[in-house]
Amino acid sequence: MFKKLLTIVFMVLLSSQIALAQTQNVAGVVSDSESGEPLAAVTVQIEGENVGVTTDMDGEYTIQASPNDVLLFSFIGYETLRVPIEGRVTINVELSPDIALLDDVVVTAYGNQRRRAVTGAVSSVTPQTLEARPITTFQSALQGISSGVSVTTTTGQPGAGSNIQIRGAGSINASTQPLYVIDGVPVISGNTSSVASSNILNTLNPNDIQSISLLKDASAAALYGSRAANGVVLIETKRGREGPARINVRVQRGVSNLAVDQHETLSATEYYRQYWRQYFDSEVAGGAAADAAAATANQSTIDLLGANPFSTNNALGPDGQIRDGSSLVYDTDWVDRVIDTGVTSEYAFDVSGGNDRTTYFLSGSAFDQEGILPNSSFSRGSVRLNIDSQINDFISVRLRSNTTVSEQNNAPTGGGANNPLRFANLTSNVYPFYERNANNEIVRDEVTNRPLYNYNAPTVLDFHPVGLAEVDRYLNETMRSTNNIGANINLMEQLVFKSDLSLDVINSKDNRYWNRDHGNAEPVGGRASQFYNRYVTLNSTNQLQFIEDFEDHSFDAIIGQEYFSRHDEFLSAETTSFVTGLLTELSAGSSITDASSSFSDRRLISFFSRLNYGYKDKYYLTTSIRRDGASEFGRNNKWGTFGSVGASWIISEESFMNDIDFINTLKLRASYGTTGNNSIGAYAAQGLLGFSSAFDYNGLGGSTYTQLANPDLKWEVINSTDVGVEFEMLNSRLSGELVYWTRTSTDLLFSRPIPVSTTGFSDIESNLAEIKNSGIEANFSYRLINNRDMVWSVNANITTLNNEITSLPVDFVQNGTKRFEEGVDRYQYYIQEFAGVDEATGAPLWFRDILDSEGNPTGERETTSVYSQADRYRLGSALEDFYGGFGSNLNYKGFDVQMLWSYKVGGKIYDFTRSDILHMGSQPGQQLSTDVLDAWTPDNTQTDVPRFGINNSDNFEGTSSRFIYDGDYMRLKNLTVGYTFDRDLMNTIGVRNLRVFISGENLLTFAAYDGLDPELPRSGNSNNIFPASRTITGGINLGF
Amino acid sequence: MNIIKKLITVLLFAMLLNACDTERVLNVDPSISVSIDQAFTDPEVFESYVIGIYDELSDPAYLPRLIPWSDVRGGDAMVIPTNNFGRYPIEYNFRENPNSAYGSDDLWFQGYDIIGLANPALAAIADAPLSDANKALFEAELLAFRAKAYHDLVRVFALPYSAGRDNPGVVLNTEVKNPNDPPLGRSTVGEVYDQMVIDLERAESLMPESRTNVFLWTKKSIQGMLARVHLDMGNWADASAAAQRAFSGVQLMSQAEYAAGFDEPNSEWLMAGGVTADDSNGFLSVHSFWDTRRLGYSSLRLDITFMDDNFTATDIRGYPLLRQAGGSPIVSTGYVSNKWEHNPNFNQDEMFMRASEMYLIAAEAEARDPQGDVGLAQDFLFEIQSRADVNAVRSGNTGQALIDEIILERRKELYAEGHAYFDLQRLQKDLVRTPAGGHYADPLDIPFNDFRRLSPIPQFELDANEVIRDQQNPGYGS
Repeated sequence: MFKKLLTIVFMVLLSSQIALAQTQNVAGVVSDSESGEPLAAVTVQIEGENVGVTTDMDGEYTIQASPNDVLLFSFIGYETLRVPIEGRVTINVELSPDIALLDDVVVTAYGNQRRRAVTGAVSSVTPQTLEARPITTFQSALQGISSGVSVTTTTGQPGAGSNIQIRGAGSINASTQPLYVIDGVPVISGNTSSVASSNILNTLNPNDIQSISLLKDASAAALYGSRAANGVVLIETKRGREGPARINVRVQRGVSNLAVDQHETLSATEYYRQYWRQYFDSEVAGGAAADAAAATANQSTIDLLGANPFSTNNALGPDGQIRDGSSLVYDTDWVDRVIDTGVTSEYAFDVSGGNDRTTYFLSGSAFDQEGILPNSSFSRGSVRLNIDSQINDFISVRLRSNTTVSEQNNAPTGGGANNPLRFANLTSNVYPFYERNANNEIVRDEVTNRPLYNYNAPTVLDFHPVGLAEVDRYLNETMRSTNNIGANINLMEQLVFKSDLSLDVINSKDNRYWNRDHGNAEPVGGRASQFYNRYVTLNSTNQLQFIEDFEDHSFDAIIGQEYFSRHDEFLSAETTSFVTGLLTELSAGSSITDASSSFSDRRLISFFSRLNYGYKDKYYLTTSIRRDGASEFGRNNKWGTFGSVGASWIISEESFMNDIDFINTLKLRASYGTTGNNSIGAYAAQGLLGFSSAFDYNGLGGSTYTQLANPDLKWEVINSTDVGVEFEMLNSRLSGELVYWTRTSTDLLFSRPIPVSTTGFSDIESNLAEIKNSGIEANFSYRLINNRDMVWSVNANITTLNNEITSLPVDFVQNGTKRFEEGVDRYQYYIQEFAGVDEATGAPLWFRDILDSEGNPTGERETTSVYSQADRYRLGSALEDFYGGFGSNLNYKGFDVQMLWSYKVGGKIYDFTRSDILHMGSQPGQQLSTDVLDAWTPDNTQTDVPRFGINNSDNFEGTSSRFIYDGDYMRLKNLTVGYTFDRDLMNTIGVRNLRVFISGENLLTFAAYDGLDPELPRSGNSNNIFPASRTITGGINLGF
Repeated sequence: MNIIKKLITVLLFAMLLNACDTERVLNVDPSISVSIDQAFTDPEVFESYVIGIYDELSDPAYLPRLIPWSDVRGGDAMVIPTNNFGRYPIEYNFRENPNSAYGSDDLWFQGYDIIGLANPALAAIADAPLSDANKALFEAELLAFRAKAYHDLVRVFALPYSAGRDNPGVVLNTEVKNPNDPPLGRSTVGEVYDQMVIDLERAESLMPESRTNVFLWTKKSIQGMLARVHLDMGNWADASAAAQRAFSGVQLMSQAEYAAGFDEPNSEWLMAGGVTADDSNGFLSVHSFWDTRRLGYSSLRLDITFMDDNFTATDIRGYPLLRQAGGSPIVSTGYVSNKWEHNPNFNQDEMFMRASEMYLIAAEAEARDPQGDVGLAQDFLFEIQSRADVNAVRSGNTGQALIDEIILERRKELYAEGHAYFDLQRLQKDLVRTPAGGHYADPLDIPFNDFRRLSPIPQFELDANEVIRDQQNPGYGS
């Protein structure tokens, strides 16, 4: 039915004819108002029509127009000029560069618009901003730049992605990442490796990016329908310009080290003494003489810890100090030994140019980044060719072609023994870095004389964070080839048919090897494991665009159809039993332990339409609608419809505003719409019986019930509203935006917990919850100084976030340390509450409810020293109150200085590592925080650190509020200083421009809590995340 | 030209609109799963479904975890204080809480997973397109699985049968449920045991004699289960009869086989988890935990005084190895044991049930039964004692003295096989551990009525099940 309707509309559009008036040649020169230089590639259009020309390298243009037409001169980065012809044949104009004006062209969904006509919430990141920062990934470039966009880089692993959230988390279980669209094609984002932590978006060379638009509300994003619930990041890559070939070269090198110091821990002597004192005190209490007690205590400590960092076996005297004649032989600062500086380098070039018909952009880059943990790195080589060609008067074609090869060495993460940072955080300084003999001398290899790594630290026995990094391999190699071809056919002046076809092929190979001698694979004689994943995505979009202006009315309508198909293939194999460590490929292993393959398919069929209507250039209305059918959803709910409506009003152009001089521009906008979130497994709605070697038994093939069916499973729906004011004041020196927005999510994908005792399953995927997000965004930019020598502007943005679970099908869901309940946000901590230390005994205390005779809480509480009896309470939220950024851009003569800070206030963090190192003696050998020196003793009863004891079973390290801390922080994300050499001087040696720069990322961090990097996921810091690095880079931009 | 162009475009567009059969395009099939509807309508899939349940039983999260769990809580064994890879110290110290209870949490999950797999299959079996022989065989296996899961669940989370039929048991369900059905609360211990007896008796009648593969359920292993269940219930005559059926015609293993440790089935094994080198539990096998040479976790030890005081010089069970030639020396808290012979290729089969235990069940049942045959009890006891020690003398004890001797013999024969804690429970004995034995637990002693003797119902079940939320075992917080 819907299809027939579209066909009819199409026919109607076709059959209308618009008469053309008599035309003549109009010509002129377009130049830059500040420098006087002619501007090439400026688009000159007749207002209301689709056809246009561009200026040549001398800034000249010629266009056929009628005497009553109006010409539009537009160029990204410059104020669009609207000039009525009024019968003239020569029209010369000057365009002024501008920061953010209403006539700026903004890239929006399936097209672009002037900012005045944009009724939704769209933030643009300009090319100037991107070029100024020598960033490794474009995701990190977005941090602090736009209100409503929260970017958290939670791992310092080179090549890993960042978490981007636009306007709060609208889901509980499904992904909250936005949709990424590159050159009009939605692309796979996220991790394409089976085992590494990487992000396929890192295959995009940031130097290729021309602009980024962030679509934050439904009016902007609804055209992407079922995938747009979390907003859309629109990326356009660079295109050529008419004129002689321009070459740009960029070379940079940088150095990275740890951004934030880790926890303070005990030195070897302090650690040893901590346990020694327990033995000493107990010997003395048993009646032993001081010297004898000390000697026994020394021996007992050495036996317990399995190590002795001193030169003798009786190192500590009765006073607890090192005796004369004994000395400390080593004191291993594991974290310091594990974290090292990393070097980053990049070589990039691009060539662009073209004539009046065809333009091209060719780029290449080689990028390499070492991480600060052993054997962690990311390198990338990429080549791009973008071609745009106006073949004849009706047809233009375009090509976007990009091939990237990347290689990533992943330092192991998570709770496993092979995570080097976990090892470093958990191992005491009393264990030597190198193997030592009975005399505490370093043992060396007989042949090479290299010191042998110590694999005997009992905290993680048979592992060594640096030693294993030299012989184990965690390598991911990815190759990606993206090719988009498209064509525009001008059917009539008002009507264009656009067709785009894109093929994106990703090959990701994981090549892992664990050595035979130490670590995880030692018992099996070494293990090699490889994964080959291939992702093939096909996207086809066909649309018709109708643009017409008459009198005061303007129309811009599109109607279109899209087909998306994604086929993922997975292949993996694993072998063990390697005879020698020289060969590490699968064939060299003599025992095959795994061989598997599988594939999955996703398909999306869509129809969409959008209308932009403008009246007198002051009043704008946008409506859009999209219908998506997706393969992932249950058979009862395959199709969904999404739509939006938005309006904007340019108040400043009303006559009543004419006398108000201090306001230059005032725009009011409002919108409402729905979008969807379809990010669930490809077969999530089906009841499945799985076959796999994992279910085999004793050589017989087995299968098991792996998933409960839900035929009603459908996408999440988000209703967004947005009301905002955009303004420029004080001669356009101050510009800004103030917005109030809400996002209400319904039908949230939710693993509804069901009792295991009912079906054997612990949860079932359903659509049963609702969440509401709302907030205020404000951003400002103020140009302090703007004259021939100096331009200085400062900017700031702030976003507040309110989040509330408005409906949950069960009373609550416990999710790790958080509990989801109606009426509060989804980041509420719900854990045991620490009640201090018992002054009399030194035992840790937690709260529990006092129950009445029927077992109900009376509202009163008491404390208990038995952790398993503690009750849980609501203890604050991990969600921040507000976040944002602020910065400054200064240009003085040839110098440019940019600075950007990002900050977050409110929100609590949980530090699992701190609880690990406050085990109070129950884990001999495991590292201890310096807090332990303030532990309860009979002489030190006023403390929040409980008693220390060997084989302590107090459970102080259990999850509790004791380890919740404030997560506020402010970070200098970027500081860049550059100098551009005088252009005239450079021209004499044939160089178009030369700029040198030095830049720092994460230079300074101020945080409410010390000991770990404050940029954490909201689940808290567990499993010893790869820490963030501070990078200082220097480089050259050279243009010919 | 213009018009032709327009016509072509219209046609293309119209074709695009109507070209796709959207239903076909939007239906995709997974590549390594089939629809669950096919599980019980295809005989080969049905068979693989049953095999999948065996895999769950010998999963590292179920029996290979529960066996050491029972031993470290049983008093005669312990986990070493350091280098234990974080496995079992909480259970050894009786510090389980609803959020962290390695062993009992997994048991709840695995046990109810198996029950959740067995119930739909049992409901569908009558109409399934199977041969009559397979119908009987599969039904017997499914009933045995269900009974086995309930037996472990009720002994870990509830008081022993001997403490009262009406005590809270575990959730009992024999119907097919779907996720929207209301949650169930705990049935009584008596109800659970009654269901087990029904299931096992029917399973015994259906299981053919011809099935002899000890890696799968056989008539004998079902009879063994029945013996265990009746022993718990105090049905002495039934326990003895079932145990005798189980060991009848079975040859006990020789001393040489005993000394070689559990590796592959010998004549006496009644049930085992089959393990191959490419499908093993790796480090999480029972063998790995008891390994003596640091090739596995090597984290379990035996009580020194138990081993020193109770075995004669010629009892082969009393001399576990302390060190093996060629291996690296280990810091010992107690004695290491090579009962579970570990090899680095991890392909040792996991022994779940053997005939010696049946002899001891029969002996105990006859000794306790007021109408029992004391002579028979002494005979059965002697079978076990004489196999272990050439110098053993047939016991002349009767009455309580005989019972005590049999109980002690259970400890001597079955240590490290997962019975120790369950015996303490059903006998309602206090747990007393001494540092002289190598114990360091805090606390050392746990009397029978201490709340910690029962494992807490896991937090994930409490959170999802509003009925059972109020039925947690006493002493554990919310």
